[in-house]
Amino acid sequence: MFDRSRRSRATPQPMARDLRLVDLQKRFLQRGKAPVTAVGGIDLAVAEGELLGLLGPSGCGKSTTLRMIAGLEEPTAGDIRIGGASIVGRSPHLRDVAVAFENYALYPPLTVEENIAFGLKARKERDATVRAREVAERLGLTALLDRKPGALSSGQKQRVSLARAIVRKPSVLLLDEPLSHLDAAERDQTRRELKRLQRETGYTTVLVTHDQQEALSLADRVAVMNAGELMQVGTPDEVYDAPANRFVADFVGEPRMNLLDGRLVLDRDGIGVALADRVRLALSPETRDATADLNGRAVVIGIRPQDIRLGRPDESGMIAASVFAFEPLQEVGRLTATVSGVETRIVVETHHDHRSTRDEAIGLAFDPSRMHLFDAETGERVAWQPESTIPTDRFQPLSPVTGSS
Amino acid sequence: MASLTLHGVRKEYGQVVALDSLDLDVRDGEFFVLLGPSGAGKTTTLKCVAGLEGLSAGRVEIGGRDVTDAEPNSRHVAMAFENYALYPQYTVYDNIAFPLRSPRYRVSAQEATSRIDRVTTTLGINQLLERAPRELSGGQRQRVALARVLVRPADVLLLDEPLSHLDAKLRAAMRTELKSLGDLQHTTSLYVTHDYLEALALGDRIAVLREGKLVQVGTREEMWHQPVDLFVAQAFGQPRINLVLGEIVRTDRGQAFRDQDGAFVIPLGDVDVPAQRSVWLGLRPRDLVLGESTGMHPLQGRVYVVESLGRQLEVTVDVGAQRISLVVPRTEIEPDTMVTFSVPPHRLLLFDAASERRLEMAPAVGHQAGASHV
Amino acid sequence: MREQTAIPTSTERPASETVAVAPATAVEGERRTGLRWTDIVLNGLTLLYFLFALFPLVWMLILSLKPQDDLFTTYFVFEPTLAAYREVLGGSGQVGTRFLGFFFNSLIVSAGAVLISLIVGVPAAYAFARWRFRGGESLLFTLLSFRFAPELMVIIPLLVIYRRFGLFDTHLGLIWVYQLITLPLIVWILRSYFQDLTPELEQSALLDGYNRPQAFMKVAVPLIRPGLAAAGLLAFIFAWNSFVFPFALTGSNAQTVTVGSLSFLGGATPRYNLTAAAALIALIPPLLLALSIQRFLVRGLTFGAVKG
Repeated sequence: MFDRSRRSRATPQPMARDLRLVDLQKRFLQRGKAPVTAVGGIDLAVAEGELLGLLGPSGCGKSTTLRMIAGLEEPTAGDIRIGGASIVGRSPHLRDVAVAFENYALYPPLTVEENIAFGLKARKERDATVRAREVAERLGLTALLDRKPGALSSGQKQRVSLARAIVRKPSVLLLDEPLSHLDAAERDQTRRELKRLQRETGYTTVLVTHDQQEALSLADRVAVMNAGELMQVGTPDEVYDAPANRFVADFVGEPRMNLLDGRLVLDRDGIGVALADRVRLALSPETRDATADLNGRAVVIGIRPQDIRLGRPDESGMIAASVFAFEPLQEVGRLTATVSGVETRIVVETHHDHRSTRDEAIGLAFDPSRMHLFDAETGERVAWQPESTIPTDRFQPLSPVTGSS
Repeated sequence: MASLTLHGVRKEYGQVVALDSLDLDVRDGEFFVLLGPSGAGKTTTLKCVAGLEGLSAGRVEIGGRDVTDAEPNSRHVAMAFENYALYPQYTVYDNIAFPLRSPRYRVSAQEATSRIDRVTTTLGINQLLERAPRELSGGQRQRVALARVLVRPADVLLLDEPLSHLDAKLRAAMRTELKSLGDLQHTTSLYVTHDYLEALALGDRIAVLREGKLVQVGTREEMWHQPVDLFVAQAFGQPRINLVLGEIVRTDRGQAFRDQDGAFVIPLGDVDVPAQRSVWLGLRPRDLVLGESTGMHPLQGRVYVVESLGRQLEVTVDVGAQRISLVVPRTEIEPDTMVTFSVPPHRLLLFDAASERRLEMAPAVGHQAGASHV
Repeated sequence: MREQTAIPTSTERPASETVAVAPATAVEGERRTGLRWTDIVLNGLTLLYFLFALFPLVWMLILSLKPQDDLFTTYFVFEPTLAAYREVLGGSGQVGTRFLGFFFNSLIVSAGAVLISLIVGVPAAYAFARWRFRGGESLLFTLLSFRFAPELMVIIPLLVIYRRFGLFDTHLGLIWVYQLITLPLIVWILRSYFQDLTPELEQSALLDGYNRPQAFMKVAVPLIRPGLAAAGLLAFIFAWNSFVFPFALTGSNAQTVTVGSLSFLGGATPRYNLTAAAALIALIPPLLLALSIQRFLVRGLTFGAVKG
């Protein structure tokens, strides 16, 4: 169920306000070249207490958007409103927006405590030190208050950077790739703490990242961006289960969704989709209804590695394939197969006990209720996948295939 | 094609011991992966094998021949460097042809072209031959570096973290390519990485290196199911294996694990571990399931945080003072609610708290040895 | 900056072609925050400095074009004449041919010195860059110290030695002594260029079947071309401009243009116009060299060798 109300959000911080971006644009002029549109008119609303993940590849405009909200860049057009009031034109320190930077940007000669209290002291707030200590405790930094940034690990520096942003009790909190410079263990822990913290404190937060796992884990809603445009906005489940276009389908999800060229064909069995003009795949009943009139349309078939079942190549309903490589990753198995006539290799996630060898002949079956269709030219979803009524834990881990090995 | 042996290899840089008496045996045709964090000595090991660094002590043998004092160009090894080391002044073609124009490996121009053709087609880069390295993307440069290594005969291939500078998706794709290539090539290879997925995918055998010392050598199943100590257990798996510190106590139904607060208790049945022993209990997040399950021991806790992984969820549960992570299929679950989950006793790992070494548990309730040896 | 991650199609783009977000040469969009008057003041100051720096050259140009009678005036208005140039370059016997002689001497000696320094200095720089050996740092410093010592300090002993060994007033003698100027420069500049090369490039060549000298010639040297251009140019300019050494160690045979140009100042009336013309002509070779070498002073020659 994708019922948004069920997803409990924290009680919003009294200071937190909602954030709206209205047709926000940013163009850069270059001498002697065409102007570059970094952000091409985006409309976005972040509710009070919500954490919005701004997700996209490098160069998509997400950092520029963040910088515009922070006041470090001026929009070329459009509006930014916090709590209904426009903040465009106000210099950064008057916006009540706090930023935690990707590189932490801690002041090296100051201690952790001084770093956190810095902004408050600059405003001549009287209880700066007390508030700094409170926030430090909440982030588990009390033992480190007297250290200088040089003596801290990346994860610790990250938390100090966060503390410094939070202590100002901002209306909006901006996080720029907060986990990108942490090693694997630190990243997992910091991510959990960050999620928990945001829940408890209820700050309206915008998180910018290129890591889709980070966005899915942390965000209440995800806004996927590419080349300055919004590709899709939705909950992590929505963006994962029902990508609105090919870009989102490819970008979100690990392992990557298989994207294969195909064509809708109408034959005596009704409408189906042909893979490489050879193999005919069945569509789910809902998809058939939606594509009934689209005979001949070139489409891109999207199917996640977890939604492909293995079998014997001669079984009915199976696509005959040959194993290109099999990676026994212990947590799962990753099988890459080639189907003759199909240019792209197909990746299948298998049970961890499965074993296959190179050039082994196998059969693949795509789960029709999990198959996505995108228009080959525009990339937009062709048939809308209705909200899935299939409870996800019905999908059993695939049992190992006993074949030649 | 030959075997590669390191006998007591030691490398010191002044006071710093980079490699501490390494003994390694790579069999003929084996794809061997050396796994370790940065600074462990992986690149140093490769450089010693290649002859780019001299040894402080020990021997290197390739195909039974002692090459310890041999010049790099007479050892018959090929190496792909971490940062590719492509010659920027040459095109891709000339880069790959470079070894084939050297005094040692010189071949005719036609032979060179045909070899280069073959290798670049396999690696999918034969349309890039006229480009300069600076015009290529990271993944393409990486494949050119690989092509250069594969284009001429070598007894041993040395690969230094070839995928570390690629983004996650590209890394996964290249890992599959390497696996396929490895299956085809059967050249004795020593591959070095800090990424455990590469080790599991590619290695016929894996060795874990820590601060210049080998901690464990074995197959991927042995690494996963029978890690020799905490370091190896933590080296594989994402999220990391859950570790709970506690002790073994005797109950009326055999022995049980109990953490310091007593909120976390798992019966172990008949186990060959002395009571009161201070131990770490290891639980892999994917071995745990929500709810109750036959044959498994239930535990209760409060959900600390729930994170979406797409098709799955990573749920962190507080059981008393212990914070445990689970990876489960997506389901309805909210933070700050009480939840039950189950632990499979035969999948538990126990480690001595002082030595950090894994304790063998008696077969009765013992954890099953890693499944089929492939 | 991280390389880009997934993009919609299955092809990748070269690392250098990221979608520009804030290109370095970008100009801010429509909203200007112009403080006009600071622009005017800054530009004005720059212009003043420009005039100040160029003035000596302008004055020399004027001198060289003034007729004999106006030489000692400070008028800017005069009737320009090319008589000085004609006299220096061709014309009246003695002065003309002598100047051309000086010019060619300078060319031979400067170019020769740079050539020798390159042949010796490039391998030396490589050795200093790649290996640490006992006495290495001291040797390097000694080499640099030649540049510290005032030339006047050594010319008397040098003069004695040169006379003894018949090196006085020879091209070879000057080329040899110029090594004190050119060699340290070349070694110091090129050493840092070599240090910037990642050693893996040569290591790769070693493994590929080349020996050290071959790896050096085929891999390392081609990659420091900008360094060779820069160091060579600088060394040439210093050699060309050298005054004290040719002044002390040459007579009429190998005299360079720096010393020779002053010969017009001896005699009853100092012929400033001739000196000015000679000096301006002597400017030409270094200038031409600098302009033509510019395209070799290319940053980023090694871009693409390594990741990132």
